[in-house]
Amino acid sequence: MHDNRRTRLVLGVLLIIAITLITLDFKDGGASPARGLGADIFGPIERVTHDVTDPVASVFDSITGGTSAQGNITSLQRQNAELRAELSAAQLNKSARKQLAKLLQLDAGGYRIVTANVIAAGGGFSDTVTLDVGSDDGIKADETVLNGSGFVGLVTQVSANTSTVLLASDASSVVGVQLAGSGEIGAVTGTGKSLSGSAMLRLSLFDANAVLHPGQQVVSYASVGNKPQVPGVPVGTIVSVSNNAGALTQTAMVRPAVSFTSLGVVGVVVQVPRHGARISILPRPAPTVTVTATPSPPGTASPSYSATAPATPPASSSTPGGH
Amino acid sequence: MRAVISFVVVAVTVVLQLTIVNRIAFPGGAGPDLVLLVVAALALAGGPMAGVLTGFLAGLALDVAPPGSHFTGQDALVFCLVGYFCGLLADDASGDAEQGHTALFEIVVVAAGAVCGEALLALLGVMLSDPQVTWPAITNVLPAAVAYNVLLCPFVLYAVAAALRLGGARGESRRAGWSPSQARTPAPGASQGAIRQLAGGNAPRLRLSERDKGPGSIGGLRGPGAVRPTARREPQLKLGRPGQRSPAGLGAAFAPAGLGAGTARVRFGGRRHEGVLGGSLLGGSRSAGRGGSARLGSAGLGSSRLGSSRLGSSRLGISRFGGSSMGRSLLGGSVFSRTSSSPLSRPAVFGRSAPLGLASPLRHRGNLAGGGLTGHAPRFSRGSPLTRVTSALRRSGGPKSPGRGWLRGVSSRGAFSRRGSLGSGSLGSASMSRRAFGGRRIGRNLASRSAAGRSLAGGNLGRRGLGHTGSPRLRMPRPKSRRRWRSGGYR
Repeated sequence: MHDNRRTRLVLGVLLIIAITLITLDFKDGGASPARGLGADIFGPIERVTHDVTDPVASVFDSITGGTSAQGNITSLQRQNAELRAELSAAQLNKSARKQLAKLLQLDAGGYRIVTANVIAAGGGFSDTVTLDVGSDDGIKADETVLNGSGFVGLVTQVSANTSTVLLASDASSVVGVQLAGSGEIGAVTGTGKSLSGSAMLRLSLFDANAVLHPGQQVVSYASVGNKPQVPGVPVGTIVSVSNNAGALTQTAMVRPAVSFTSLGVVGVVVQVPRHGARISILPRPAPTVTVTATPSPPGTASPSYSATAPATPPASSSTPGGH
Repeated sequence: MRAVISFVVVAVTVVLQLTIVNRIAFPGGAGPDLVLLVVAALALAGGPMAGVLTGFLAGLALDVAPPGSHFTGQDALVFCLVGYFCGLLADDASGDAEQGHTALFEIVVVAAGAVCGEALLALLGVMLSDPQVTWPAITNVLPAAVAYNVLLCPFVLYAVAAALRLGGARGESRRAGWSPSQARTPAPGASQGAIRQLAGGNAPRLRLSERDKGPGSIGGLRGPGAVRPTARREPQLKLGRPGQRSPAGLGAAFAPAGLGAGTARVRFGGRRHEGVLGGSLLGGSRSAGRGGSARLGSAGLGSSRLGSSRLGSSRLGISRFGGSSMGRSLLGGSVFSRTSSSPLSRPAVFGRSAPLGLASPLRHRGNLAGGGLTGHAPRFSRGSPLTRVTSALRRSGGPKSPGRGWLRGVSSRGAFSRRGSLGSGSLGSASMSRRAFGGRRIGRNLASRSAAGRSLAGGNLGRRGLGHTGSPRLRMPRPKSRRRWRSGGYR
């Protein structure tokens, strides 16, 4: 009996504490100081764990990562044939290297990028990841994270050694974009977990009369002081347009340029070139299949962007024009 | 001690969840929540207080650990509740039926806890108008998350039980006299909860002695007979012998077992096997109890255990390989305990060590006799040829097993009967151990620790008959012991 009472007391106290924490955090809009403490404690642990478990995670990634490309069966089969020949652990490293190489080519545009590894991910309903770089590496909040394929997300929280990135696919993420061809501006929001299957983004264009058609490329739009996002980074490609007659905005579904489920090496843009290098940041789609995810058993997975790459117009040809 | 282990387990799980599980793109859009499962399992093992505390801390850790994007306190709130109710459920059940619950019950509780936890998280998200938690998102995420959780919960449960056992064993061994639970609760029959027990350790002393000796000459190891006494610990010791000290990897554990199987000496071999099994996370205590299972495992069935249990065809597995600990556990024994309460499992129990544990491990802790004594491998038998062979070998070497019929009869009875059986089993083992190794120690330990033990030991060691008589006594003390243990343990 005594035990029970005591237990209930403890339960009550802890529940009250939890509710208090929620309330405080709610009031602060999610920027609880406890987070910093948590990052200090768990950040290093996660970094170490990542180093140890990376090979394991990579294998899983390769197996499960590419479900988004399932639609294009024929291309998958072709890729699988190629990939099967190269199936090996070395391949995994190679993919990381490729991602890095693609990333580094962005440097040519004058961007200063801090490369980082994804070391942890949020679960449940959120699409967030943790990077192994932090304020010690010059990272600040609201900086753009990208990888060789395009726009990944924005840095939301930074601790000394880690930083948290809100992926563009998260339901609470909003990214200003413009259409690469026409320069129409709009915003892309993530769909989070609300769509089954591959992650998609939802584009709403501010101009109700603008013409949208599948295949158009969407790039990030400039923002004041290049925060929260730098301009010109490919966000995705329009795959379907929803025509809502009478709606104030046009909406379309955008297939992200980045495979959010197989993020490995990413870069955080810490400095933007003085004179507009916007165009140069657009990576040109590789003519051949870009293997980011790597080998996967036949039937399941596959590299993600490969399917979309050929369909997209050469990115470099597009120019952010309007603003 | 257990609190420390729980803390470590939770911390490790949180990190694994964030760095590995969350990064895997599970088909279906959502992955399992290992932390939730672990909290539920720990609550089951430790009761409401343990559940509340571990739940809150685990949730808070998830809240503040880097990638978290929800409001701080959300997970803490939900996990705290889940821990409390799982602990409560476990307690209630155990309270009525002294012997505790079956593994199936435990799995169901953990699964239910995980399901409710996921639902609560979603509900809380909606209440806080989290933009990420929309109705379509919930309909996508919840079913997948629940499915994965349910799928994984047996494994998490076993892993947690093994961890607790492992930790408990070590801790005890360090402090020989330490375990308060033991001192307080002499109840012989009581201890099986792997978790609690572990902590309580059955016969710490025995273990220590074992260990110390273990590394030494083989003869020394065996000779002490200590082996027998502490069935659970044995595993570690034994593992050590083969040269593998690390109880950690299941694979490792199994492998040795396989190797060991071939050993010429039947008895020892049997023991070793046990040891191996015991050492293995899954089996832990349980395996130790049943030599039979151990042997089977060694025979190569080891793999079968897992498989069978997973498939849910545990029954089949059992029938085939009476030895599979998992199968048994599913049927009857609690995960935490090593012994199985189910009739099928009985045999194992009977075998020896397991016996004590019959009841669910969680609840009891006390039985020294059972745990400690059982050293042997039960063998038993269920009808597979392998088992028979092994049993035959065993017989030649050592004490005879009562035989199936005996076990079954016992098993069929209520908890009492079981205990009795256990007691008997333990006695038998004790006697055996004595013979083989001059088991005075064992006898002493038993006697000193538990009244029941005394009766048994003094009475006779003899064997089965005594056991029956002893059973009723054993029972009585449990409730108290449990309480004490818990309160003591968690403080």
